[in-house]
Amino acid sequence: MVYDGILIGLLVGLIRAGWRNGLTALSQIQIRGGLIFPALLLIQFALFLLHERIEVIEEYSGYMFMVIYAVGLYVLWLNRNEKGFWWIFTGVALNFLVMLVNGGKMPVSIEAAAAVLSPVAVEVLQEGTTLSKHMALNESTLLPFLGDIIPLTSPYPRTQIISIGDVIMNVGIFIYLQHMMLAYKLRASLEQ
Amino acid sequence: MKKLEGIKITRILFNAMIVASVVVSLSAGFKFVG
Repeated sequence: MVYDGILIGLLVGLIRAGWRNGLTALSQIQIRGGLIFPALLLIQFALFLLHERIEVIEEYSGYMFMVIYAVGLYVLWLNRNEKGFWWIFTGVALNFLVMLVNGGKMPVSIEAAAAVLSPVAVEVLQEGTTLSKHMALNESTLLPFLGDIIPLTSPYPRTQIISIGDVIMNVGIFIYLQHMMLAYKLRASLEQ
Repeated sequence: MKKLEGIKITRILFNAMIVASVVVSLSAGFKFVG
């Protein structure tokens, strides 16, 4: 689900707009501050790789993830006039909110994890021994309905647990890609 | 720069990477890798 909105959006967009219009539209995308997103992704990878060597990362990882999400929200806000970005902003804001009120970590339903993941995965989640932006959802969790509570498994091609915010984000990126490709198709047909 | 019928492939790939990173960097789904 993490990137399914993009894959489905690209596929449907290319079919609806035609591959040439779709690819041309894709080559003309302009997202304000767009390079910040891969940078945020790289920072998260760096946190995962370095947390065993640098103690402060492990101690303050929750705050660091909050800063990453806050920066991401700011850049999404800059692009709020792009169709679909309000959905993405809302989805990220919901994820940010539930993480913020739970110490910077995303709560994951143990029941959902037990239903689709291996016992080892559930154990790791409960112990919280590895650095992650996730934690086990329990009775003291605030806003639990915004946590990772939706299990995905076969026949769905991936096994994971997602949040309502993740679903809304993917709807947003789908809308964005459709609008971008179909708007180009319309412009191209008007110019001919 | 390579072009696909006049469309810059590197630009397409670059933009696709940017769009993908928007969602991948800020999603919060749980997937166990280990």
